[in-house]
Amino acid sequence: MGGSGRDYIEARYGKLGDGATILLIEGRSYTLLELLEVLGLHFEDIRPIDACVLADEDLYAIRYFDSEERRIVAYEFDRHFRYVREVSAHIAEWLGEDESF
Amino acid sequence: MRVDHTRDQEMRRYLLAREAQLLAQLPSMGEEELRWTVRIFADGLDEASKALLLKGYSEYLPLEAMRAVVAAFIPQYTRLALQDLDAKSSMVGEGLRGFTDEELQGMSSAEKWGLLAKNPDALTSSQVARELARLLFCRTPDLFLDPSLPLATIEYPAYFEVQEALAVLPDDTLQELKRIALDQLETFQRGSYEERQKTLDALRGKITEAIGLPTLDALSEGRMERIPRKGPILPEEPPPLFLEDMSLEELRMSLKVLADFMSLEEFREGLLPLKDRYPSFYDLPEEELKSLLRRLAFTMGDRTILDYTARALFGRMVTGSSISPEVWALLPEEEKLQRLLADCDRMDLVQAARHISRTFLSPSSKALFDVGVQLRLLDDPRYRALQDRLILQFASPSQGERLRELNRQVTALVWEMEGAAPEAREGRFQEIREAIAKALSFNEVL
Repeated sequence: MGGSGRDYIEARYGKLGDGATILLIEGRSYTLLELLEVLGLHFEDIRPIDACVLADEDLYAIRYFDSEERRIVAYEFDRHFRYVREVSAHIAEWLGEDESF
Repeated sequence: MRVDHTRDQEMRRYLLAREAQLLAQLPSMGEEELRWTVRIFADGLDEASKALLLKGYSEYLPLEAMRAVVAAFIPQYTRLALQDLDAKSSMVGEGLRGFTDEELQGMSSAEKWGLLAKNPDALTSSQVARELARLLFCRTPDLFLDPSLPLATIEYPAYFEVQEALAVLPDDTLQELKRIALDQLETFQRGSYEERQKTLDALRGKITEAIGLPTLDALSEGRMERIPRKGPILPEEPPPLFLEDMSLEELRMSLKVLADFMSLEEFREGLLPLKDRYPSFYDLPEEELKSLLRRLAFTMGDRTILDYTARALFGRMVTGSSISPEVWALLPEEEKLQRLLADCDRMDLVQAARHISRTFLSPSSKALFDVGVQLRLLDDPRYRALQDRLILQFASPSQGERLRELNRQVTALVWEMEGAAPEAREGRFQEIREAIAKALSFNEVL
């Protein structure tokens, strides 16, 4: 894991939910569910949130909620859908004062 | 009740196919095409949905950023249109109320005003403002009959500027304009072409007079120019600057909205000291009002008028911090309920009474999310009367516990309603209102 924390995730990928719901990769458009499938992340407890292009690094990222771990995960990959890295943070960081809820 | 399954199925297929097509075309859409797409969809949305779905959107965004926002907006808009379709499926044949926002966008002014004449209260104030704005673009009787007029008007910045000008008119003035339009258009179908033209001209004159528009000549200028024409609105404008732009009436309304969320303790600390100096909040000088609002905005954080009634759907909280809709949507349903109940437990009796009163006085489940309805309650004597009654009836500590329990029950029932099938929601909501009436032993109309 390359890092953690809401601040980092939102600084690198934008505010949660503000990203795209489709990505254009190598001339083809992918919905979030299609991306999860291609990346081998399509599990019952994974709920996609949004995706983005990291243009400077020629990379892409999809953000999802791992409901079992209760973590928001940003998963980075390249144009060939190869894993690059992921960062995650507990959803409590987005829930304000009730972190121990 | 009549359900038109064929219409629903066709419409559903159309909405989903359009979404897929637009998403496929999105990568190749130019900047003007993106702006046009957002305009045509957003034009049919109420203010709350628009604010929620188009958060961060501006016609001045760089192309790629705009494309990303539109990519997120289209599926969200489709979901809303499908929900609207579900809600209206059992209302076919009930005049204007039975039409979805999508369908209203595809109808001629003549058809809509004809239906409005049969049921003058069928449209919300913002929908009336939109129809009046479109009337201004009916330069000829042919355009009044043209169902493609809504598609054409969104290309002109003046159409949106006229809507904004109509939206700030007092509701009485807007209703009066509607009444005049209904009166004048009654004879429209029977008149000759010249008579129809005269009727339209007179009506357009009344509307321009009401909003202080000097001439109609400029309506069609600046096709597809970016709106607002004066330049981009900076996001998250700091409160002091924002307050500077508000009229005295808007400042007072803002105070009313904030005061409606205050606990008794917050009210005592924040507002009661002013009671010694001014007979009522209406007597506060403008500068003092602004200074008070700045303090309250700082201590109370961001608030919307829907925070009492739209909690279950959007994760808004009356006490403590609200949760962003994106994060709220990720939470398990049971956790959402527990958080809502925890919010109830943090409310004092006054806040609980307001929550119950707002739920009870909302005439339909849709009204829970209608900014206009919820704002008007602030001036509705029934809202105050019901709160007073609740507080008096449950004033003692043991009775207070009953009020808290009722507040939790109402919250849980609304949460269940939101999870119910769309066609069952309205019935569930009316059961909630009945449950409140029963708990309070109401035997008369407030």
